[in-house]
Amino acid sequence: MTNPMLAQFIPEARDLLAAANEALLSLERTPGDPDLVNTVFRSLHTLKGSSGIFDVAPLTQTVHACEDLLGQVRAGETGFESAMADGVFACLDAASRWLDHLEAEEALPPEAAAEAAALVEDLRGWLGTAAPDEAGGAAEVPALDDFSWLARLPEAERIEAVRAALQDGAPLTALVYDPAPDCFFNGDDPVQNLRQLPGLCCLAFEPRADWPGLDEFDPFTCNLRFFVLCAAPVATVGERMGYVADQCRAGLVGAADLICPAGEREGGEVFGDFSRRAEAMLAAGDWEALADAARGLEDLGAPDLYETSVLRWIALLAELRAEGVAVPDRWLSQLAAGVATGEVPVLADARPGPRPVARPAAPAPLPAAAAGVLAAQRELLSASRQQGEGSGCAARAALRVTRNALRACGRDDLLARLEEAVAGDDGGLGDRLDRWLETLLADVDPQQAAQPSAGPRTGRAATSAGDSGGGRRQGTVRVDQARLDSLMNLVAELVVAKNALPYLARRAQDTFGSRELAREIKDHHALVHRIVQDLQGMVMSVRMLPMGNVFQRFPRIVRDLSRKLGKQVELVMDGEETEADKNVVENLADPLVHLIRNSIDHGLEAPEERVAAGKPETGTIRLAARHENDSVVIEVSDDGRGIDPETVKAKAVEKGLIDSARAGTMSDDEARALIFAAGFSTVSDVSEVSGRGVGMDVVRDTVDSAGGRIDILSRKGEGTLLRLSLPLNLAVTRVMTVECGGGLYGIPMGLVVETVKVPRDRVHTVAGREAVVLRDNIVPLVRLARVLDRGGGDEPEEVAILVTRVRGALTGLVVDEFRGGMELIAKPMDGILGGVRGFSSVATLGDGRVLLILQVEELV
Amino acid sequence: MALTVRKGTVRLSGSCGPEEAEDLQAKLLKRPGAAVDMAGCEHMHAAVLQVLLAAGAPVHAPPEDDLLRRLTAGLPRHEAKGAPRE
Repeated sequence: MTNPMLAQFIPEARDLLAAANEALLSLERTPGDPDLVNTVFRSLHTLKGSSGIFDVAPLTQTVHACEDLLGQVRAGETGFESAMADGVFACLDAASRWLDHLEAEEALPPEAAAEAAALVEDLRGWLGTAAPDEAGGAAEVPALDDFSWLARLPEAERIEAVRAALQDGAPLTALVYDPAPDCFFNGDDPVQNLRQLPGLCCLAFEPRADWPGLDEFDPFTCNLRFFVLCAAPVATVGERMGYVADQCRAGLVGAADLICPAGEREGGEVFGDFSRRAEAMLAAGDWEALADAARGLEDLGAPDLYETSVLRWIALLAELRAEGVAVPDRWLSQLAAGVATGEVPVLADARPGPRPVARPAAPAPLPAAAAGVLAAQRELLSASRQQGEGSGCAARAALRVTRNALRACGRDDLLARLEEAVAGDDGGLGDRLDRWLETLLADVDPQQAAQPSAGPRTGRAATSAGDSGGGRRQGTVRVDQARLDSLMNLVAELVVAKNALPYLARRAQDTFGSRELAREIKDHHALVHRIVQDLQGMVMSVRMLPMGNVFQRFPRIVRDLSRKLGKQVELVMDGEETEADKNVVENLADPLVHLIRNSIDHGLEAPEERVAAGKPETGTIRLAARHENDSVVIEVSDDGRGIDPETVKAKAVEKGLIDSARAGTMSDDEARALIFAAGFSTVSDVSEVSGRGVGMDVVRDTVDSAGGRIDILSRKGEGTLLRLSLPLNLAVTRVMTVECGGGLYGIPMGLVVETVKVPRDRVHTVAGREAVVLRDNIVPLVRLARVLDRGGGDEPEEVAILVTRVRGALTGLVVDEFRGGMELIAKPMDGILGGVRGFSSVATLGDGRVLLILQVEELV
Repeated sequence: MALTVRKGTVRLSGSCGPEEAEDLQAKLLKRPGAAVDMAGCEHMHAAVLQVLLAAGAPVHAPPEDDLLRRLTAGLPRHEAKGAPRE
């Protein structure tokens, strides 16, 4: 990803979505819990804010709509219901998908805009029922007191607004929107805010300060002030602007407020004439004639004359009156008189209360938002230092932002101090700026700095400001997974390099005859070994993730499924804190989804069936994780109908997976294991949820490839338990090494059941295959030398058999000799080796030899 | 890419986010008097709008979007010199 801000935003956004999801689920169970509503609201609010600085409008809109809805719930205007949660969940899901796309492509998918519109529309159903004001707990828009700017709105737009207002009786809201200079840094886009205004009919704007030259202009300080007229109630306008309420002034205006003619006055006999004729027409109530006369004279005059402007208004009002619209006679007569005198009095009735002109901008003592921006600059500086980039560019950018932030909050005094502090050459600019910011932020009122406010930036700023005061920094660092992976690989290389030392010691002794050097090398090896072990342990622990990372998605899946299938399900989770290597945890996610789906769809019975069987109506799915030796064990169990071995066998025969003779001799456990066979599905009709005959075999393959095992325990009518055990970390593989045909091979320790040596005469031939009877079990044998084509030597008196359990079945591998167990770093077989069958991976031994690790499943 | 330069005209297309503002500023500084073509622009962040206003950039083609059209109405119209070239 080329955009570092985006790279930071995406994981943050995912965390926020996860938090919102989780709180929303809990909220469904305890509707009305204000803390949960708050959690969802805050997460969404933060996400909306931080998304605003990227080009992800659909995401922002969608989250915004959810936030509005939750805001209503929070304000107690709308009750929380499950169907509403469905809508919000749909939005969160979409947002999550968009984030994936954003991460991969640095842009939202093209269909996101349409999707967002549909999602928002769905939510509007609930939003509409609420009171129009005070949405999202946002502050109410203060009352507008200066209406003089109305005259500056374009006359053509005012005419249309008056026409609409008089014809439909629609209320008109005047709005002055004065965005805060630093609003862009909060993710605000004033243009976007304007877009959301209902019934926007007139729009004017001005720069707050004159535009400077383009070269010294800072586009990120908002210098715009908007004057807007909307054909909508003040409350509705206020609702839409709720998040920038403090930057707005709104008030109701009447049509008369907009009738303010403007232009150069010409004067002249012709206007006096018109005035007199108009009086007569008014008295006669001949509105059409008045309109025609006004239009006729208007066409003659220059369009920018005052008189022409008055004539336009007369024509409009007379036309409306002719259509039967209620227009006060007084307006027309005063306008008509005004054509002659060049002066139209204010038509509107006096407004109650004083109208102070402008509110003074109160200079705040370094607001939290500014402190946030400044602290972010420090982070930027430190990041650019760490990455060893030429600090000049980042430092100059940070300096510019700092200047702007100070200017924006009116702290010219600080600005002067800043210039003093950073004066000098570009070389140490970054350091000087950083030091200056540190002192400045340390001075920030801690209470103020700790104030949570919109946007993660500010939140972080508060922490850094607090920390810098203490002089010590503690916290977490987000690290790209790829970096962790390469760190792991480097440690692996180091382990291999370290393992070469004993061989070197032996060579020193044997080849060069230096016993002393050999001992020194061994001593040194012991030291390096210890350090590498610690290093490896540390890297492993960094890569450890709690299983909760995967588990957290299940409450949602269970909820959706149980609603879809009409089953009542309770999910009990246990051992979320159990840690395992991140690859293991991530590899488990999909298999577990399959298992949970299967348990709900196939395992649990419908409520009536459960009641008939004397079980509680609500089924229970238990998801538990724990450590067991060097593996992590995950169990998915249900109290459903269990797996009936006879049904499974019948189905397998029907599908042609086994023949009926085999079915007859199968044990119940073997029969149950058939559900893992590819193309097996016991439910005859394929449901939307599961039962497409894929799934269980995928689960098994995933677990296999991670070097794990899956077992089924089931009792008919009582339930099913699926147990997955996986190695704690995938980086280090424990193998048993064997020698065969002069080569050394590794077999994953997880598959090894035992090693035995039996006299040659105990090997029997059963049904054309060699087998040996071990503790009443018939173990078929596979001669490794034959399978690997390494030629069979002389048959020894005793046969060495490595007994393995592959997919529930025992198989004996006949080898030449057993060698010890070994921990090594296995690498998958890539490239041209990828097609070689029979081997899963390779590892380098300390002496430089390559060890091939067998894929036993493919050999038996 | 929301900003492109063709034959001395800066073209804004799609949705122009705040990150485009500095780019636009640089492009306009490099080509004083360059006209802007906003026909394909669906949305522009206020920061981008500010750059156009500060530059007083002549409009080669106004935006289709009503709100943007209103916001950029104050910019001078670009007088095409000769036939438009592609």
